[in-house]
Amino acid sequence: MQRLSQRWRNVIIAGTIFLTGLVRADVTNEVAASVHAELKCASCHAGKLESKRAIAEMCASCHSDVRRMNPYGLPTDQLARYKTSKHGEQLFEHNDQNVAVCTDCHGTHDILKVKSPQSRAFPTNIPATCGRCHSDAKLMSQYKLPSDVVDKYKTSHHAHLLLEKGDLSAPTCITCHGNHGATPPGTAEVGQVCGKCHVRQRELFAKSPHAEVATAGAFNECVSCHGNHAIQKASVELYAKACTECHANDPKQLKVRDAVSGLIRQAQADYRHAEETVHAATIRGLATDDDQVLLQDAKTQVTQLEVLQHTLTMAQLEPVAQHSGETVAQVLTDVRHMERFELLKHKALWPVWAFLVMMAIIFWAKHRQLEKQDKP
Amino acid sequence: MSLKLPNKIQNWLSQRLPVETAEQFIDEQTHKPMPEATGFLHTFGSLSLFLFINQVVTGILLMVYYRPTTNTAFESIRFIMTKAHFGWFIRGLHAWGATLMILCVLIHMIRTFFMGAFKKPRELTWVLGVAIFGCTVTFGFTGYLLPWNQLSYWATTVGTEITGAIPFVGPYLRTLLRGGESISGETLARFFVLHVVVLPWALTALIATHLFLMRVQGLATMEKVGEEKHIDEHDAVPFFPHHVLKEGVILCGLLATLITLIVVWPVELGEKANPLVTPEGIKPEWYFLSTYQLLKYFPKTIGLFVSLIPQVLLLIWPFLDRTPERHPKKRPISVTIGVVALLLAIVFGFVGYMSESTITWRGQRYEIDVRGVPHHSETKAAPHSN
Amino acid sequence: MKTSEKISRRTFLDWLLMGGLLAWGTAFVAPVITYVWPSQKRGPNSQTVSVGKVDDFTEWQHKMVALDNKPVIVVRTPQGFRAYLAICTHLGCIVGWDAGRRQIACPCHAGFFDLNGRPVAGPPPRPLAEQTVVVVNNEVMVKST
Repeated sequence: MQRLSQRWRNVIIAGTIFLTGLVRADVTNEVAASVHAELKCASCHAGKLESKRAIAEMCASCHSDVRRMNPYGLPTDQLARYKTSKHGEQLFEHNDQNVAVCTDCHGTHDILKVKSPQSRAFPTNIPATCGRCHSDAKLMSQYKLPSDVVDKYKTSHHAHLLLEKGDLSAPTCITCHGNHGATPPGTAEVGQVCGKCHVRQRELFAKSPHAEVATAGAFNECVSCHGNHAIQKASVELYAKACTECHANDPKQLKVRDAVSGLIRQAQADYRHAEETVHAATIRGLATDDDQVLLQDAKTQVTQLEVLQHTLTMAQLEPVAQHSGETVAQVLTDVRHMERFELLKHKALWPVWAFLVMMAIIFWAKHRQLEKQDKP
Repeated sequence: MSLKLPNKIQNWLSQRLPVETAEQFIDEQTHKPMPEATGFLHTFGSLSLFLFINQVVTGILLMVYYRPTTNTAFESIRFIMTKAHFGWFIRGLHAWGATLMILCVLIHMIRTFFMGAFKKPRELTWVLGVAIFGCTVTFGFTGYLLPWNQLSYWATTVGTEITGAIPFVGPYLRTLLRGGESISGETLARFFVLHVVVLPWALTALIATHLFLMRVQGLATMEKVGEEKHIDEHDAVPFFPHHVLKEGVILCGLLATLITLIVVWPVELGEKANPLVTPEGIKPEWYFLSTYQLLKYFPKTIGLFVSLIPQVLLLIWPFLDRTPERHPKKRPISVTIGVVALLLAIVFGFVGYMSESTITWRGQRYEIDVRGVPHHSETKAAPHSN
Repeated sequence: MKTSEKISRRTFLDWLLMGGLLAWGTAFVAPVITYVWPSQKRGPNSQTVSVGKVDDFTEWQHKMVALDNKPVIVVRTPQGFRAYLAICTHLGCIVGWDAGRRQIACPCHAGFFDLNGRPVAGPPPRPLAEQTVVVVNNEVMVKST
């Protein structure tokens, strides 16, 4: 009897292992396709992973080990950084099980390299990955955080570049907020974050009257005018909204705004006009070769104006605007010159007509003369 | 007027060539008596011939700089228009000359139709004339692509698309015509070959035969078939110099028109062909407009056959209208058919010209659809700003 | 042609007719000859432009030329001449030479390109289009590619 029960026990154990293998075939497949294909189940599941903290520490057991990570060329400071992040603080200080740990962004059994387009941490997938929690209104309300940031981001110019144009260098959530050490950027940091890509704009902004105010913390250097998550492509229209936020009752500053925006508007309109004029002349078949080179030059100056205006200093803008104005004027003069030559052709018609009328009269007179000769 | 060559050359030549016969032939041809009634309306044939010569000469000149490849065609036309001296003028002569040539051939045909000049014994001359007309229009179609600008590219796309509607062989024919599935460098190359080699020689042969028949049979008069009076040497007008002088007068008018058109409405360079951007409201040249509009009212294949009817009728007309009368007043039925056909062509052409455009009439805006039906458009007229 | 007297009589009208036809002929032939006469050194499809003599350039000196209506920047490097279409791949500004960095620089958004035309800093997404430089008889020629 005892032998029988011993045998049954063995059968039950063997069957359970077999059935587990059958049921969890998906897991084995996932692991086989992941970066951890070489690992065994027990490599991670040796201990109980009952809390998020346990997960973070289990991952770090390998990923913080320089010797182990070295062959893969991977950094080993992720956990250290994670602990400085808001997520990490919540988890390690308040044992908050809602926060994201390694597996929430990188996956569990199906962890892929970040470079892989299927990875949840691949740039184009980042907004969705963050949005899994940060778009959840119920969850976010617990922390008094807005839940529309990802939706806002999706309307932004950055998202347009990333998701529609496939520009992987366009910023995602983590470009500004960080990844392992994720924190919201402070007033002082924003310029550094934006200025990483928009180098020239930041340089010029540092020369503007707002720079001091920003250092004092009263001005959020890029965000105050351009906004954050739902950032749009900047245009002269921005002056109408952005400046009045602070200077609505400040006619002196609004005058500066009008001067700067007027200058840029004028330069843009002049350039567009010249471009259209040259385009029409080219279609007509006039020789616009030199003007096209000049136009390219004017375009450079107008584009420079749009960047230079970050100084908000007329002295910086005026020489460039003047240069572009002169270039555009030269293009227009050139085209007008060619058009005048075309009109000259119209005037040349008169002698041509006179000659042909004369010839017609001579032909006709000769014809009459011959007819008279024939019938004397 | 006979050729006056110095005696030595004359002797040298006559020992080697039948100079006497040639002189006699030239003399006969230049002094060929023409009926007294030969008026200004009879000059459109020679004007067409003059314009053909103009096309050949200016065509050769354009070919000096033109390069028929997709990378160079447009650029070489731009060179002709902007760099080569008088290039704009020579291109103008060629482009406007083509339009005027088609117009002159048309008027010549219309005169021949209403004066009954196609009747016995000149049926073959008429058939050849219709072939000449077809050749001229094909010239226009192939030549339109060569500048390789947006208009030429897309008008040719639409034009060659029609051949695809022919049952069974249509798609193959279209591929053959285009040298591939769509208009490409291959199409440009074969249209160029057609335009500068095949068609010029074909048209030269057709014109030569047409002129030969005209000279052999003499010009038609308005008398009934079989009752033509023999041309009286004393009443007749010699071709040279009398009729030529008359043609000279008309030629002056034609040249004045041509040069005015070139200067006042210069031929555009346009934008380089871009297979990825279809411009709006693509329309064929005016001489295709009526057929183009007609095609819109029928399903593809049926439309093609309907549009073929006038062309077939034109070709076999002398064998349908076989009454001996030539004077239009005595041929009420055929004259009515002719007038109705002309009016239809003009109406269809006009509707085709107006279709897919917006007009303002008595302060109201109307959008004219593809079929030429105007629709009153509401206040959405304001141009949207960016 | 009735009497020899009338044939031999050169009337004023005949002179006019002959003169007119002669003028007509000249008016036709003259434009044709000027048309056929080459209007520039090279034909319509020349996409080659001379930048000057090799000696005009010292090392690291640059020059801008127009080629096919577009600006081209030519730089003499110790490894030879390099030429690029001087239109920034970001927003189409004309790029210039930054002597300090020895790089091609865009004045608009601080984009920099190395001497292989590759973007090394700033927003430009693509390299500059390289143009072929040929040195013939001490003359530097740029050919569009």
